[in-house]
Amino acid sequence: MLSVDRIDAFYGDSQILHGVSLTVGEKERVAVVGRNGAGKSTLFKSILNAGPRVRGRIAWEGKDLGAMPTFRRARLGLSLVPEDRRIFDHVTVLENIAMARYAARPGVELEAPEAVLARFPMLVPLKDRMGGRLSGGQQQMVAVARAIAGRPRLMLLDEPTEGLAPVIVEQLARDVNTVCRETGSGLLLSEQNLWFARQCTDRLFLIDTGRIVFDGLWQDLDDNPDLKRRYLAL
Amino acid sequence: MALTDILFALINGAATGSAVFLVAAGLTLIFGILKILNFAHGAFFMIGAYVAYSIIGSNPSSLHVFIAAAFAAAAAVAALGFVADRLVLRRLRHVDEAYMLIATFAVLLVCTGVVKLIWGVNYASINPPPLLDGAVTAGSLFVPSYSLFVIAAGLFVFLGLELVIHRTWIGKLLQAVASDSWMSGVLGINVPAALTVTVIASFALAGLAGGLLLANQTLSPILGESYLLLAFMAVIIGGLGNVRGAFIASLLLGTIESGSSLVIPNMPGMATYIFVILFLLAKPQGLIGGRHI
Repeated sequence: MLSVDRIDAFYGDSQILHGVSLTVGEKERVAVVGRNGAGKSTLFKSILNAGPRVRGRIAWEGKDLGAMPTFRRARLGLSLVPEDRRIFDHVTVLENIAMARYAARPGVELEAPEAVLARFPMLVPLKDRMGGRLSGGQQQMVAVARAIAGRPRLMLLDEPTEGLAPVIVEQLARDVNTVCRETGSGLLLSEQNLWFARQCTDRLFLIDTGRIVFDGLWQDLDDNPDLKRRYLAL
Repeated sequence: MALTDILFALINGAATGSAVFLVAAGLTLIFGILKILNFAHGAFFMIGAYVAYSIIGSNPSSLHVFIAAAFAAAAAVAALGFVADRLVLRRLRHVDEAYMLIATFAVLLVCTGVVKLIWGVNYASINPPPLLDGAVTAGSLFVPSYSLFVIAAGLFVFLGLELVIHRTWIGKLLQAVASDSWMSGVLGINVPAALTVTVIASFALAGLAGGLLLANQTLSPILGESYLLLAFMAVIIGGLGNVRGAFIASLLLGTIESGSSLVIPNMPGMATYIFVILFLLAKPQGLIGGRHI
């Protein structure tokens, strides 16, 4: 479904990604793990053409996306939840979710924002709260709800657990798994929290200084303790 | 100083302030959403005035015709806004702000030149339409009815904008684009289209102001500059890009202008400049600073 083929990505003159390739199939759930600054966010933004300058081929359903602008990529079913969540603070939780309606693909009927909200029990009592008055965990839940509201085919979730309390992380893992299963969305997850990533995905890519250094199943990673030591230990 | 003098100064200040706001409204809107300081705004205000003048001439036959001409001017200038967006603004969205300043200044020069070509350099004066050509008197207080009309027009535009921006979905959408255009794009919102809509609305407001403020002033190719300076000051004091702030600031500036002409009549404008300087020293972010329009 998504195929990233040997892309280089740049911010100004500095190159962040070096020949990164990965693929995600329909309804597949894949993690990208690596340290801070390894290039995970840059990779996600490159896929949406939302920031870095990209060289190489990014294809969706076999078609090269070329220079297609961000909002059109979103309308293909690519939904990015950025690391900093970016909830709109001038509208309510429910209206934040309603903002995602523009990402709808032609012919796909969206759930009402209330129904989307109902998938996240923690958010139901907050529906009329302004976006600027949420805790970090609540913001992350709203960000995921907003992403799923456009009925994406692939949700790109960038470091969702950063700064969240453990109990919220567990709740988030349950909710992410449930919504992906129920809506049929695939998942590309960037994480440093290996427990969370393992809960939500079936296989992983290991990224370090802008290069993919390993890909395989979680089991394969366990069989290579050396990899963990080299690329994930602090 | 009699009470009537003070009352008159206050009403006069409100009229000046409302006129300034009519010009500042489009200016602050386009800044709030596109972060463009549009030097050409005054030129399009002037074009609006000329378009309305071409429709109604020097002696408008009725209030209806006068107002209809202002809306026609708004529509004509909105169309020019679409053209300016396509030809100039859209191409400069991803380059340094300095280029945008220079480009809008160039547009200002081009517009002034075109106005001279079409309408000539002679001055024209336009009378208020019937119903607005008299004055309302209460005791010794004497207020031109056209001033009351300008105050009403300012309030109308302000309340209309407030309603659209804060109460309608399109307003919330535009605020989303204004506060975080990156995330808006990521959510599938057609950001370039939202920006074009804003440009068109801003230009329409300039044209409308031109038509509504047409009477009681000299129409000439330098009209653009007369209100623009005060409008820029209102936008800056209001907190760049904030409509509510621009409204309050316009009324404040109008009152200071009019009050100072009562207190220090030989130094017109002086008090306004001193106020602006002191205000910016004390509160450089403006009355209502922030990311919201």
